[in-house]
Amino acid sequence: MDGDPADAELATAELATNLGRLLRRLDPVPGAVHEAALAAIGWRDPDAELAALVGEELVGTAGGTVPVRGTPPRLLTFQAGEVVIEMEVTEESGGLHLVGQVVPPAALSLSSRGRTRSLEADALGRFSAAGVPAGPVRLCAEVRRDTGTTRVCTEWVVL
Amino acid sequence: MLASGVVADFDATELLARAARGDTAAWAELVGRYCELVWTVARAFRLSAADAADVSQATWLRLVEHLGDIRQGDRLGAWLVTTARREALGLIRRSGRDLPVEDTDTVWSGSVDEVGPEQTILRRERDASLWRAFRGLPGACQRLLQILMAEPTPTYAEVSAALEIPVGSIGPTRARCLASLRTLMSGSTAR
Repeated sequence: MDGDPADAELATAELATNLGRLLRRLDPVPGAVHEAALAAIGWRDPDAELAALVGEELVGTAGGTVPVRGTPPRLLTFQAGEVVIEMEVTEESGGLHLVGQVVPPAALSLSSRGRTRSLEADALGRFSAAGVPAGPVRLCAEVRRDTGTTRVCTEWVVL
Repeated sequence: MLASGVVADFDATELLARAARGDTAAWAELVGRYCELVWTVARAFRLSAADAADVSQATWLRLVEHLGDIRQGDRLGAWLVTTARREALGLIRRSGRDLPVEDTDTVWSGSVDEVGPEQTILRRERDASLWRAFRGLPGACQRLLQILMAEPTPTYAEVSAALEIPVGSIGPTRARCLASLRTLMSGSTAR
């Protein structure tokens, strides 16, 4: 059909343009994704210490075998200096269930899907939160030190 | 003051510095520039719309966490796609799903909301055959072309970071993939 290389190049360029248009039409960035990205700056917390994710494991069931369906519970460990936040994530019908502990004990809050709620923790710093939606989540702790209170936040993790 | 046209005035270094000081307009410019690329990387890993949304958001939140540290604007794009890649692979690994399989021809991730609009858009014969031909390409070609088609066009450094392929391979692979696409197209359409 076309032996001329220039024709082939032109045809290829046109094909690339058409493909680009088609892909962008088929899968544009959802408005909500763009909006959420814009809102992300609202989570900036320059005074908070970041507790990095230092450990991640899958937890077997009591019987020692990993369930076939769904995802096994995950155990996440975050650390910032002497502050350690552990959290086990389990899938339930109403959402995710987070069970964990902050050491040393501190007032806790959980942020996900644009909202923050405070969590109750016992004297040992153990907490439980149910109905947590999947997606990026972080925990922040108000850690009391001799010098005052320091805010420590885990890095965001996608649950 | 801005030149009519594309990205001549986009100074990521300055925008990062301003965003780090809490300037939401600067942040909005950064998001505006890279939102599509981050989304496209997530989707190139064949994540559902919901998962890609989570990966996108995790990527932007990660940038917010590191706003003080990332100062070189010309590294931002590569940083963002690397982060998106990491989040996407982490999500795939944790969910127990396999990485995208080369011979899969399922509808993009298979979630319900993607079938409807696709069928409307593909009513036109040409689009339908182009889409079929595209999906007939090897997965590596699909991922490469898809990411290259994001707007604004990513740099080869960004593409390289997203797919972990050498920068030098991108041009030749792109040409090869488009040639394959042309072959598939000319095979399926009657002129």
